[in-house]
Amino acid sequence: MKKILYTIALILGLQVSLTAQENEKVAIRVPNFARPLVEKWVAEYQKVNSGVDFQFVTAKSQDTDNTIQFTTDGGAVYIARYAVLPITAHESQAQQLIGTHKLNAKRLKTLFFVDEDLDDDEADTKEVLHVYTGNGQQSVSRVYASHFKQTASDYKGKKIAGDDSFLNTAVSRDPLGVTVNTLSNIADLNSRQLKPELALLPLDVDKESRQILSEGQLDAIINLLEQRSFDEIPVGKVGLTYNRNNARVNDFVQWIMAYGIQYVHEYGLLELPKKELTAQLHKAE
Amino acid sequence: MDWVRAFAPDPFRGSIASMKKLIIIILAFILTIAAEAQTATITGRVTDAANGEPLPGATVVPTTGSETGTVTDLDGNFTLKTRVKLPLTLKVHYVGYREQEIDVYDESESVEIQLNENVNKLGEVVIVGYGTQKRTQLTGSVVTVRADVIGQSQSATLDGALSGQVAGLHVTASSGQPGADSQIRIRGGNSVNASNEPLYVIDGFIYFKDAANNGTGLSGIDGSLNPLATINPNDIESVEVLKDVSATAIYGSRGANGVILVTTKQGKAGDKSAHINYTYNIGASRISKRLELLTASEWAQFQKDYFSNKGGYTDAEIAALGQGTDWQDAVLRTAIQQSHELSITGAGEKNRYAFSASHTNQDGILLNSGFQRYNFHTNVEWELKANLRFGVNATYGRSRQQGLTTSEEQVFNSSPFSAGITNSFVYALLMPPVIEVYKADGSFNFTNPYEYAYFAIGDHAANPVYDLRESVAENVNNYLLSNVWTSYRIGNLVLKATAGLNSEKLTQNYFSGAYTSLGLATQGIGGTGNRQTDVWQQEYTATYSKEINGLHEFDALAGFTRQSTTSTFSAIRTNHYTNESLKQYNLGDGSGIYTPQTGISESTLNSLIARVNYTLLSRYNLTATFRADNSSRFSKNHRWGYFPSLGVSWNIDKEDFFDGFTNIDYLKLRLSAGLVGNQEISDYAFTTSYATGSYGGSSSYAKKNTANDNLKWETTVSYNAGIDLGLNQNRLNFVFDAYYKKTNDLLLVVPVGFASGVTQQLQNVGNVVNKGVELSVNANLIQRKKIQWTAGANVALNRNTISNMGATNDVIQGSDKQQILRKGEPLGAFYGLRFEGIVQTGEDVSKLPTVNGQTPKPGDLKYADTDGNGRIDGNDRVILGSTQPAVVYGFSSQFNYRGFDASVTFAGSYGNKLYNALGRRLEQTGDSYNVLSTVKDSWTPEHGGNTLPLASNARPFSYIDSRYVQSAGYLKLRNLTIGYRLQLPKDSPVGVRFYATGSNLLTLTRYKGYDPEVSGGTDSGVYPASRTVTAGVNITL
Repeated sequence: MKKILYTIALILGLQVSLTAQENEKVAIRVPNFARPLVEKWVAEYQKVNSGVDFQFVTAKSQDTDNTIQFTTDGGAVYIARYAVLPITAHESQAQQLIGTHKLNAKRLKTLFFVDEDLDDDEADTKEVLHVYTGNGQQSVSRVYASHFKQTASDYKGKKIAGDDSFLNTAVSRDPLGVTVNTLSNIADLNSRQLKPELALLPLDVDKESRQILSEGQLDAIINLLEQRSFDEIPVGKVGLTYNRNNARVNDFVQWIMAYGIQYVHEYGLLELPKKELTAQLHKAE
Repeated sequence: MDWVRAFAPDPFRGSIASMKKLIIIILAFILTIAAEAQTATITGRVTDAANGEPLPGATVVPTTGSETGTVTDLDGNFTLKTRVKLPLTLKVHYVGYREQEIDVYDESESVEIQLNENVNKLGEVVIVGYGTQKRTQLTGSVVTVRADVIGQSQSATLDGALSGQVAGLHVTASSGQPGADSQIRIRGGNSVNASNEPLYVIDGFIYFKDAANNGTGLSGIDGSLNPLATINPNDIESVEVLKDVSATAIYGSRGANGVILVTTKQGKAGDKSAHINYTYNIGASRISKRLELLTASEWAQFQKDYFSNKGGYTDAEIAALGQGTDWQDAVLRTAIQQSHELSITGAGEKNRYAFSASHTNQDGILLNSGFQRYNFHTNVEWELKANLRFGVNATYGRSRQQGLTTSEEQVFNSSPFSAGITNSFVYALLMPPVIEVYKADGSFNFTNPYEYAYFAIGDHAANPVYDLRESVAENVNNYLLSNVWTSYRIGNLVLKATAGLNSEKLTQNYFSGAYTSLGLATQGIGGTGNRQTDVWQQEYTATYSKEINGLHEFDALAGFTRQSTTSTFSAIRTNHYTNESLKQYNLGDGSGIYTPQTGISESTLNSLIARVNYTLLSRYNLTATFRADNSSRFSKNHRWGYFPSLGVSWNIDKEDFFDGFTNIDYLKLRLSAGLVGNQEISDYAFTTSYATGSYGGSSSYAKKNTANDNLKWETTVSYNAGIDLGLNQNRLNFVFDAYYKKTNDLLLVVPVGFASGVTQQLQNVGNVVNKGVELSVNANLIQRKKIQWTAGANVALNRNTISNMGATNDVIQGSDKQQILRKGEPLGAFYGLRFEGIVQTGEDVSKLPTVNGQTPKPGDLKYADTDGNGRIDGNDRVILGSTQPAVVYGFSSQFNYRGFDASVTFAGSYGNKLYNALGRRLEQTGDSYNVLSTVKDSWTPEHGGNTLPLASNARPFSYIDSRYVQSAGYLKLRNLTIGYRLQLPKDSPVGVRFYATGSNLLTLTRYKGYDPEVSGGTDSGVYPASRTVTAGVNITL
C-alpha cells in the first residue's frame, strides 16, 4: 500500500515538476539560416543561467509571453545582418553558360524575375537557366525579391518548399540550376570556405571585391560586405521581437546584445555597423 | 520481451505452430512498417498570391510516377499521400491561374503555395444560388461582372454599371433623374401584369422590390427611388447574372426573370494588413440633347400666320422679339455632383472584415432636383471555433431624391389645353417664348395671356421655373439590409443558418403652392406619405461535398427558407393654405382635406430547396435542382408551386480524343431544362377587396377586386443550350447560348362581366414565348506585366411573342390607347394608324378615306385605310412595332500601360420602338403653347410638306399614328474612363490614382425625343438624360 501511495506521489510530483519546468521554457522561433547562431547563444547563455530552458518552435506555434521571435521582417531590436548571394552548383553547366559574364543588378533581375515586358505565357519558354527559389514565408528569396522591388511571385522557375538549405540541393541536382541563398547557408562554417559543391555567380563589382568573392573565403567576404554595400548583394537584418516585460526573456536579449554579438561572424552573419549596434543596444535596454 | 509474450502466450512450451504464428506476425508487422516508410504525407495550402484567398478545387499532382494527386478543399488545404520518394515535384493547377511547380524535400512542414492569376477568367469559382461552383462544372448560363468593371462605370447605382456588360441583359433607364430606377430585362419580358424585373440577391438576402409596395399612396410625385440605390456599387465585389433555368431554378417562384447575385467586398483571409481606400469624385452634368423649339420671333410669326395673334404683334415687333425666353434653358442647369467613399478591409487570425461609408450628392440637371445618399456597409466574418463561423452583413443608409411634381395622367386629347403636360419640365417646354421668366423687378412673372384656364386663374398664370424651384416632390428612404449567419462544418457537411431583415421606411413629401401650376386650382396642395416595409428572411441549409478518388465530385444542398413581408402605408393630403412657408410640414393649415390613405399588406413565402451537383472525371457535370414554394399571394388551392430543373455539361476538351486540338484549350457543351415561376403580383389579387373613399361627406366603399380562387403561379418552361470555347491558352473566349422560354398561365388583367362587380380581373390567361441566341466574346489582346489590353463584346437576339391569350381578345393599353396585347405579337406592341402623308393641293381627295366623316382636304393627314371600308377609324389600326428590341449588344475594352489606364463601354439596342408622346404634344399646334421647330415645315399651300399638317387649333385624332412610334434603337458610349496611378515604389504604403470619366458622351439614335431610353414604352416627357464628366482621386493605404 505504501508503495502504491509512494508511486502516486512520485508521479504527481513529477507532473508538477514537469509543469513547472514547462513554464520556465523560453520559446524561440528563428529562421533556419540563423538557427545555428541562436543555438550557440542558447548554449553559452545556459552556461551562466542554467535555470532557463529554451525550446525552438515552428513558425505556426502560438506566441506566448515567453516567445522570442527572430525574424527577417523587422523587429523591435536588430542584432545582426545577413547577405544573400546568387549561386549555382560548382562547375555546373549554368556556371559555364554564365562564364565570365559579370552580372550587374539589372542582369540579375532579368535572370531571376519574369520579364515585365513579356507575356505571362511566353515568359518561361525562352529561358535556358532554371531558377529555384524558396517558397516559405521566412525564405530569404523574399528578401532578395524585395531588394529588386519584386515580389516572390515574380520569380521565374520552380519553387522549393521548406528550408532554404534545400535550395543548395536543388541546384546541385540540376546542372542548369541557379538560386539565391544566405552566406551562412552557402558557407562551410568549419572550413570557413564556401561549400565546395557551390559557386557564387560572378557579379559586376570592382576587381578587388570580385577577387574576394571568387576566392570564397568566408571571413573575407563577411569583412567585405560589412565594409561595403553592393546593388548586386542584398543585405538584410535579423531582428527580434519579444515581450520586454518578461524578465527571463529580457535577460536573454540583454545577454545577446552584450555577449552574443561576438559569435555572429562565426556563424556566417554580418555584424551591424557600430553606430547602429550602439543604437540597438540602447533600444534593448 | 513482454510484447512478444502478448503474441505468444505460451512460449515456454516451445510449440512450433506458435513460433510460426509469431514469425508471420512479426514479418507482417515489419512489412507494414516498411510499407508505411515508403509513404510520405505532404500537407499544404493553395492560395491566391494577390489576396491570400484560398483556392478550393486546385489540383496538386506529383509530376513523377502515375499517382493521380489530390484536390484542395474549400479552405484551399490539401493532403497528398505519395509513394514517390522525396524530393518530388508537385504540379499545382487551378484554372485561371498560372500553373506552378514546387519541389518538396521534406514532409514535416506544410507547403504554402501561392498562385498568380492568369488573365483568363474561366476557371474561378463563381457564386451561384446558395453556394459556389467551379466555372468548369457549371451547367447553367452564369455571367460574372467583376468589381473593376463596376467601379469604372462611376454609376451611382448597380444597374447603370451592368449596361452593355452581359449578353441578353438589357438596361433601360426609366429617366435621367438622379437616383431613378431602371428597367432590367434578362432574355426579354415574360409577363404582362406580373413583374419582369430580375430577382436580386444581396449577400444571400433575397431582395425584390415589390411592384405593389413602392409608393405611399401619395400622388403628384414624378419619379421613384431606384431600389438598387441601397447598394453602393463600390461596395460590390462581383455580380453574377444567372440567366438560364439550371442556375435560376433554385429561386423557383422568383427565378423566371433571371437572378442577379450581388456579393459585397470582404477582407481577404490571410491578409492581415488593413487596407484603407478613399475616393473623392467631383463632376458636372449637362443635358445630353436639347430639343429645338421655336424662338420668340418664330412663335409670334406663327401665331400671326395661323392663329388670332393674341399678342397683336406687328411684323417689326416680331422681328424685335428675337430669341425671347428659352424656357428649356431656364429650367436646366449644369449640375454638380460629388461623392466621398471610405472603405476599410482586412483580416485577422480568425476573422475578416470590410467596412465602408459613402456620401453621394448629385444635383439634377433640372432645377431643384437631385439625389443624395449616405450609405454605411459592413461585412464581417469570424471563425469562432474550429469549423464554426459567424458573419454579419449590414447596410444602413438614407437616400433622398428630389424630383418633379407631376400632374395626374391625362389622356392626350382629353383637353386641348392641359393634356400631355405631365410635369413641370414639359410645361416649361410648352411655355410661349414671348413670356419672360422674371419681371423687370426680378420677381417671378406670373402673367401669361396665352395660357388657358387650366394653368391660369384670372390673370395669374403658372411659371414653370417657379414651379420647379418652389414645389416639393421628394422621396426619402431610410433602409437597413442586414443578414446574420452562422455555419458549422462537420467533415464534408456544412450546416448554415441565416437570418436577415430588410427594413425600409419611405417618406414621400409633396407640395405645390398656390402660385404653382398644380396648386393654382386649389390654392396650394400638399401631402406626405410613409411606407414601412419589413422583410424577414430565414434560411437553413445543409451542404455536403465529397470528392472520391479524384474521379467523382459530389455536392448536395438541401434547405428551408422563409420570407415574410409586412408593409404598412399612410398618406394625407390637404389644400387651400393660408401660409405656405412651412410647405408640407404645415399641412394642418389646409382647409381642404382629402380622404386619408392607409393600409397594410402582408405576404409570406415558405420554400424547400434541394440541389445536387455531380462531376465525373472532371468532364461530365450534372446539376439537378428542385424548389417548392408556398406563397400567400395565391388562393389556398394553388399556393404550392414546384420548380424542378436539370442541367448537364460536358467538358469536351478533357477527353482523350481531343488531345490533337492543341489550339482549343477549353470546350464545354451545356444543356438545361426546367421550370421557374413568377409570383410578383400584389398581395391580395386572389381575393375580393374594397377601396375606401368618401361620398357626400360619408365614407364609402367601392369594390376593387373580385376573388379568383384559381389564381396561381405564372410558370416559365425554359430550355437552354450553350457552348463555352477557349482558344489560344484561353485568351480568347466565346460563350454562345440559345434558349427557348415559354411562360404559361400568364398573369393578365382581363376584362370581366359587370356581374362580378368589377370591370377587370387578374387571371391566368395565355402564354408568352421568348426565344433567342446570345454570343459573347472576351479577348485578352495583350497580357504583359506592364501592359494589358482586354476587350469584350456581346450580342443577343430575342424574339418575344404572345402565343396564346385564351378566350381574351385584344387588350388595349396606355393612356393614349397606344399599346396592344394580341396573340402572335410581342409584349409592348404599339397599335395605331399608319401615316401615309399629307393631302397635297390638287390631289384627288375623292379616293381618300374619310376621317371623322369628313373628306380630307389639302393639308390634312392621310392614314392607311387598312380594312378598306373607306373611312379611318379604330379598325384601321395596325401593329407599329414594339418596345422589344430585336438585338441588344455591348462592347467594352480596358487598357493598362504602366500607370495609365483607360476603359470604354458601349451599349446598344436595335429594333425597339418608343411612343414619342412628348414629340406629339410639341408638334400639336395651337395658340397657347410653344412647339418644336419642326412645325415650321408644316404643310402650307405654298410650300407643301409631307409630315405635319396645316397648322390649326384642331384636336388631334383619337389614335396615335406611326409618325410618333419612333425607332428607339441606339448606340451609346456609356462610359469612358482615363486614369493614372502614380508610379510609387512597390513597397510604398500609399497608392494614388487620378481619373476622369465621361458618361453618356455619345448617343447615336434615330429617335427624335430627348433620349431613346425610356422604360415602359411611352416618352411623355420624362426627366431628360444627361451627359456627365467627373474627375476623382483614389488613395489607398
